[in-house]
Amino acid sequence: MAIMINLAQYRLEESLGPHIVLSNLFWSVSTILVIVAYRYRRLWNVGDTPWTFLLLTFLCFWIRELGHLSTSPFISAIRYTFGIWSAVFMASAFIYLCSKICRGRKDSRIFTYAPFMLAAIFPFMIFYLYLLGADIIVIKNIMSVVESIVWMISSSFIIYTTYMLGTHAPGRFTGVYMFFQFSAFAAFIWKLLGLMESMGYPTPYFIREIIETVFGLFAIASMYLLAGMLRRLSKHINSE
Amino acid sequence: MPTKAELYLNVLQELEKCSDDILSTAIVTPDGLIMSCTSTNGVDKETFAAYSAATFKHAEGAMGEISNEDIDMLLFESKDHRVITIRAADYALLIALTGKHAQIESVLSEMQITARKIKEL
Repeated sequence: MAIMINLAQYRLEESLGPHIVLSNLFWSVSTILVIVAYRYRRLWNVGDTPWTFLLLTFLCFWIRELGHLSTSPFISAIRYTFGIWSAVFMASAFIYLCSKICRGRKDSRIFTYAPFMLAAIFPFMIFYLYLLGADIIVIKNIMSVVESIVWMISSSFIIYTTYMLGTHAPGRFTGVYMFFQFSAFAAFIWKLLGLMESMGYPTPYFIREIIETVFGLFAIASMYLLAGMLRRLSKHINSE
Repeated sequence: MPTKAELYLNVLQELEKCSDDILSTAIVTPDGLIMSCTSTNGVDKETFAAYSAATFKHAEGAMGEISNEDIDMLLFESKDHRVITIRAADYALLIALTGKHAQIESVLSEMQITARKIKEL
């Protein structure tokens, strides 16, 4: 016998409900955690590039989530751009780490700047669509689809690279990569459902938003583990 | 008062003075984070630390399965190099990268002394 729960009574089907507050809270916390971890970046000295990408990932997604608080289509189009940037930087961070730690490749300028060049395409895309005379609602919808596609591609890369890193990593790093992988799975499903909806196969809004919240929860877990590990080490080696 | 990071570096430098064949040494956490490290020749420090800690972890698992005991030391070698890892404390592994022709007994003995010093710190 199927058990039906009316989630509307918990205000989970509204575009601005508890899940938005939760999601904003989670991404604010994970942004604070990534800033804490960034302060200790010399203790995990994998180079400035992946640290910058990680920081930008969380900052961009936090800004994206703040965009939920507005219903303006223009803000939504900008919000999706931040979501796309977040996906690009997150995938780039893990591809970089994987190529450095698992494949032993050296730093390269192309690899450092390519994600920024890729990210720069999307604001130009909005501007180009605007110049073509597209309605702001149409631009918003296009950016939503583009964000879904970019997140799905990025999360596929993240799933693979975190698997490679996690199977090569010792100790609590395995947990860090595992939670990043879980968040990538959640992001993939969340965006797949969003894309399906835009193709005419609707999914209840609350399901997508709950998956998005889970994505945020896993992101917090991974950053909490990383920041905690670095903080403990810093306390230990800087003690007298 | 010097910090632990400085004291760790001192003991590693003392260890390296014992043999010319020691190419690089490091103290890393079981998570693969570097607590202290001397210069590496062409090897990325983070990669050196991460792989050494991961290898030790795998060997620890294998030893646990085989003899139900903890692993204290791990040695593996290639055509030109040897990597020796010793558990210095619960939170620290001492790792040395040596040339193939290093006097293994003396290096091991010096590493045991260094491990004791790390534990005392």
